[in-house]
Amino acid sequence: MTDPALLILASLAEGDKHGYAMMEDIEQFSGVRLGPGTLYGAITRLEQAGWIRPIRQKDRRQPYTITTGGRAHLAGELAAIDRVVKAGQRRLKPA
Amino acid sequence: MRRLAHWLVSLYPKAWKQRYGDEFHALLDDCSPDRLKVAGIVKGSLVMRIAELFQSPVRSAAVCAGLGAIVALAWVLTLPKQFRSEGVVSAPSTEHTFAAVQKALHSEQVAGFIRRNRLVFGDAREPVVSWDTIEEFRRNATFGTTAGLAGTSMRVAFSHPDPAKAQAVAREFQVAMIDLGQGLQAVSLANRPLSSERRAFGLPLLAGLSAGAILGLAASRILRRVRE
Repeated sequence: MTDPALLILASLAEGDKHGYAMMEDIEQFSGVRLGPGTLYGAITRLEQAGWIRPIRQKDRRQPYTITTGGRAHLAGELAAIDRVVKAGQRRLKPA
Repeated sequence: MRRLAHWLVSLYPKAWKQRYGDEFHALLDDCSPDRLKVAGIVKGSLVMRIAELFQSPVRSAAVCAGLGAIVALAWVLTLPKQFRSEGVVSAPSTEHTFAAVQKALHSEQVAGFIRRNRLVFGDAREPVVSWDTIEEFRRNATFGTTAGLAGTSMRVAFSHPDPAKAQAVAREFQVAMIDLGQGLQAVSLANRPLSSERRAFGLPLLAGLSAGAILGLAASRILRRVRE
């Protein structure tokens, strides 16, 4: 799973974070290091879709939180990936 | 590093900068972008600028029309220069000249012109006699008649990138008309062109502008549907 939007949603599902914290968290749980351009391109799309929203900031770093719609979208995407993973694993088992 | 971050933020569209500029700057201060990340940011800003451009159908059409015009002009400049050799024949009437032209432009005659003068059209390296090359030959040959009291005179011209070949073919064509027609005479033999014809920019420019504008409108519409 390397879709930046999904990685961001998965990161925010655990708690609110600003951009740099998301980058660190995503690298830790997925091994994928998102660049700043990729991260903010995805943040822009996610905010436009209403799946994340900014919350009150303490300094120049802007934290984001996942919305209810974002959680539902993430759950749907993860379920679809899970189906593919399970089917793939079943087919890999020797007959 | 601050200057680099400032420059990278400045690459993005104005509306995006107003909304995300400060926080993006803060992120760049935190993560000190290396060359790869800088390349990613430049690419991301380009994608956003292109997406912004296609949001407005008018702006999208205008920019694409401009690009279409540039491509059309570049295409015209890549075409080889054409030299036009011209001679004049006289005939008792217009009917006599047209009958002679028809006979001289007969496929067998044209095939002979192509073979004898080793005329090469398109990307071919050797002369090829095919329906396409015969048609190409006919496109390069032009005629214009002037009727008067003493009869009709006709300008016979042939255009080719090689001025010597343009003259040779135009002369051979004149001779063929005189031999095959009735009562035709050479008034002046085809000349050796000294300068090339002026390139015709008008039609390709118009085609490039129109095609670009149509593509720009279509792209804007498709992107709007994808976003919806």
